[in-house]
Amino acid sequence: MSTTQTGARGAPRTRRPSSFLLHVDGELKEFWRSPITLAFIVAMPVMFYVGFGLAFRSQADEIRVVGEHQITQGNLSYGGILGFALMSVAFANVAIGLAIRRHHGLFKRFRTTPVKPVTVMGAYLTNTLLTTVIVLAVVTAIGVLAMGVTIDPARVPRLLIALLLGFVCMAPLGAAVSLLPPNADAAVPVVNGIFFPAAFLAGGFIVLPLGDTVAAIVDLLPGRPLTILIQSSLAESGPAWDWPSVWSLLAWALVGTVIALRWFRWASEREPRGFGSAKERSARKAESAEGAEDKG
Amino acid sequence: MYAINATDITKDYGKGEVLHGISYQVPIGGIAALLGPNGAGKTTLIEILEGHRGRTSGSVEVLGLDPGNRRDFAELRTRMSVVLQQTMLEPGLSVRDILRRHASYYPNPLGVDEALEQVELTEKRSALVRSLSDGQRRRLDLALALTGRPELLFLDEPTTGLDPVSRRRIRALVAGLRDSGTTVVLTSHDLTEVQELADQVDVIRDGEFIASGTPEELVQGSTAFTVVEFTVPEGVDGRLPEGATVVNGRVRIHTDDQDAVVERVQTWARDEGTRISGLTIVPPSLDDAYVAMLNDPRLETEKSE
Repeated sequence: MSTTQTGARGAPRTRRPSSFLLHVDGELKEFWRSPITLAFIVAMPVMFYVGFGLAFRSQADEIRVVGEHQITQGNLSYGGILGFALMSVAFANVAIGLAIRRHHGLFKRFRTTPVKPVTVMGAYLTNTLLTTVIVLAVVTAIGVLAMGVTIDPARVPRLLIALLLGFVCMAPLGAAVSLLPPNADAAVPVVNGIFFPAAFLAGGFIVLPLGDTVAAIVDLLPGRPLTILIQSSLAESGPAWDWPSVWSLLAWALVGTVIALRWFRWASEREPRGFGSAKERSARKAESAEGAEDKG
Repeated sequence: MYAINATDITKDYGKGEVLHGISYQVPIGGIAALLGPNGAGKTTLIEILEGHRGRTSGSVEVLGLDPGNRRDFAELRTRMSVVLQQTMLEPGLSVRDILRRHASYYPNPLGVDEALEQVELTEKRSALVRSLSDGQRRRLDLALALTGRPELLFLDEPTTGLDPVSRRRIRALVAGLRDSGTTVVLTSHDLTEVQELADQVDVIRDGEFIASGTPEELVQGSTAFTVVEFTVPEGVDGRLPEGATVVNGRVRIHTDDQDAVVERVQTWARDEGTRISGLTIVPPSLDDAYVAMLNDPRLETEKSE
């Protein structure tokens, strides 16, 4: 083996792709080349829609009354699967992916290099957003072409805003929940243990008779306001926009962001360096060490 | 000049100190090995030097920078590399993709082909990480570490779990780094590797250094013995030289004075009217010295005093 001259600096720089673009490229390849993520994150919502949609295909044009909305069965199923798919990709996928990366040491490896955290996380979330768009587009194509879904063009912008709000809420919550699994093996069961109940309690497919207390609690969770916004965008009649749901999603987005930044960790073991106050603690420790040195 | 100059480092996780005011220096351009049993404080010290863990007190300079200072830490990461023991490489990415992305972090990196050539992995340029063997992944780890042209390289167990051929390849590469002026800090439980590569060895136990020196100095200064062995001669009827035992059909004598033992064995053979055959003299290895060091009751006594 040969070795190279090290520390050689000042050589002319050539134009190279940015770290961010190369990270996005890496995330896309890693995601779309993984049979497991394709099966559980992309194919599962699609297959679920095909099965559920076909079961109710003959009733696609029947009108259902959901809360203050009248909505066709076809659109009800489609709206339910949109929320489910969005939660699957933006919440469960983010939570599982980040937990596995953390516990398998990928983040720790990045932390040994000069790459900026915003580059790593930004690329990860960019890939998540692209994947969300692709999955929702596939579901929409199936719905429109085969499941009797009818979308009022006037309500499309609202639907897109509802989905974007859902992403802005779910992705940070996924990042926050990624801190819960104690190891990589626990990532899938822990996250799915939260995701599946939350997705089905959201009432996207059927409204379960939960009782006033439980229903009030479910209304506070992020899945319910997301479902309300999606259903209102797809309804035949009823209020087109629900501001309390918007505020609720934004509040959850804020909670997720604060938790994810406050307790972010690069590795399984406790490390002093992260985002937020952990960083400040580290800086304070270093300062106190310097102070001790000065005194000595 | 030191690549690493750490003085009076203490580390307390809140349940008592794990590092007790230790000092550690590594000259520029050398290969330094840090040895110690699990829980000795080795990883804590290394992570403090790498900047991934804070210290409770003491001063640390790595390449003239304080890894505990955020700004210094950022610069340090452009000048040093770390090969972690076990970390994930994304299985769905190609070797080229990973190296190209890694190179984008540095101002003047090695090219992909240049990095692959260094670790003899050129033919795997387009291969996905999931298709690489353990040895090839480890060489890719090293290629990544070398991509930024580091002045200082931390290597954690670089050959653990690899086959002999891969081990030799990686050792040759690490040895070559010395010639290129890179300072290497090596942690390894493979003491043959340490003996072969290291210019300086420091042994840490219970948060304190118990021995430092070249591998040869540590072996010479240890209580480990040279082993003199020969085949049991016929007709001696269990009569053996003083201090000898029979192990697997061979007479074995542990000694710290091999010349005296050989002379004694020759005298014994002459008196017994027999000939010595299959004589081997195995001096203590760093492995023997290390084990003797950790089991040395004198060190326990000194510590309790």
